[in-house]
Amino acid sequence: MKLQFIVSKVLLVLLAVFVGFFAQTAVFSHFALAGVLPNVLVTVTSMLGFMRGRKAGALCGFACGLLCDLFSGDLFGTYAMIFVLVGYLNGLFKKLYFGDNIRLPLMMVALSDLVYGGMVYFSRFLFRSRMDTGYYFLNVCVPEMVYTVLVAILLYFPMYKLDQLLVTIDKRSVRHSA
Amino acid sequence: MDRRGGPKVPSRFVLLLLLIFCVMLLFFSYATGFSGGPLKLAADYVFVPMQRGMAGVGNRIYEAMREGRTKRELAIENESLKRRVDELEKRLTSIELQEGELNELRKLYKLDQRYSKYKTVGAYVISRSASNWFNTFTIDKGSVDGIQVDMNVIAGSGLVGIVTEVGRHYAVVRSIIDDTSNVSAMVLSTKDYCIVGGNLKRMSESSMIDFSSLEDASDKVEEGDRLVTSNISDKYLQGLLIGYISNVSEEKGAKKKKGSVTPVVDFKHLSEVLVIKELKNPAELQKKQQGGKAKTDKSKETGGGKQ
Repeated sequence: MKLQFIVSKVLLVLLAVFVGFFAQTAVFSHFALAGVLPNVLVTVTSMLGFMRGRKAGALCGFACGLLCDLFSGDLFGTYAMIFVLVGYLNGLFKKLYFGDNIRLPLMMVALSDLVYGGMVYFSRFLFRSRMDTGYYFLNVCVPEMVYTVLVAILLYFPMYKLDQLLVTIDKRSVRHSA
Repeated sequence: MDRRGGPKVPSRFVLLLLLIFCVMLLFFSYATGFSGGPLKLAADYVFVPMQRGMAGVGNRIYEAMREGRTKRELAIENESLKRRVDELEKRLTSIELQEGELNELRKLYKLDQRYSKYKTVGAYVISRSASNWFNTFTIDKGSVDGIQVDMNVIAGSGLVGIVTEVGRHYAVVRSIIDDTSNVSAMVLSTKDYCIVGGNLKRMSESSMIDFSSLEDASDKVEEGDRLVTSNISDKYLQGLLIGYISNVSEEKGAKKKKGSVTPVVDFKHLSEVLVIKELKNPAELQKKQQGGKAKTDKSKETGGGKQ
């Protein structure tokens, strides 16, 4: 594939990540429901994962994770790892996705957010002997998951368009190389 | 990509490579305190200006929502406020009489607000942490404005947190209600030391933070006592108000006490903060101390650095 196509694809994905990050940190922070914020970056990573496959998911996750690391002040690389795994795991379900039904994407986003929550808990809380897993699951993970799914409904169509755009670029590059 | 005849990299390798890279980053960051390096430049010139803008827009929307109240509501509120003013004016006169007395007592008690003399710089909160697990936020001042890691951050009358990361035009602050935060504190009236540690569970249940390891042999500490940062703290300047003790109980096994504190700062609606441009220990001094320091309670304290 020609470099220009790769670059344009990467730029498009990065744009989605940027917008997601801004939405999460600067916009939704004013619309927190009962102190809970939706996780836009997990939504973007998860959707890109099952729309485009394992590789795209992992790479997009890596970008999202680095961003979170940059503004988190904890060990650098924790979020990158979590997001890479989330993106890759979503990529495994690419075969189930046809783009005609919003139920699967929402389920995937919900699951991804729970997995994300579990990994954050495991890496940053459990090791500091915060043992009350049930409490954290019910009071942090689940509310976040519900709000994230609500936001994912809004985000699905832009992400669907993005996927279409990436497919178009792929097709054009095939024609170009043929 | 195989259809197109380009080189095909299996997804599994990509995953493996990325994970190895992440693990390397983790070790590197643990060993050297690396926190972004060149990526910080991107943050400075791309993210922070945009976040600043976004925060402005967000604030404006929030303000607009608040302004969008009906006239009727305002009239009712005005009425009740007028009544309140009358009431308060009455109280004011009696308080003015007491003020002289209070000043005398204050002098005796040495309760003067220590931090009025610190040099501070004001900053706006431009973004919140991207997760529900942590309580960090980004402010719009960075190393260019003289901000350094471990500088204390206050708002109004109380301690907000500590700077954990600094870029050229931004800084990340970890608030004292964050689950990973630990502050060495003391009870103002009895000068007993304790550790104040944020706790996500306590915070979401009752908007309070925990304190523990309080040595109070004479049983004098009670509800309503003020907790301030202690003089033995490594990272926090002495005498910054943290909050008021709301309950005290015995710690299991040890002859110590624990309980919870109501912080004085409203962490939910934080938009402007003050950064104190003074470090508790200048860097060299700190290194020397760490060399031969005995393990005391304050070694539990978490400052701005990596843990």
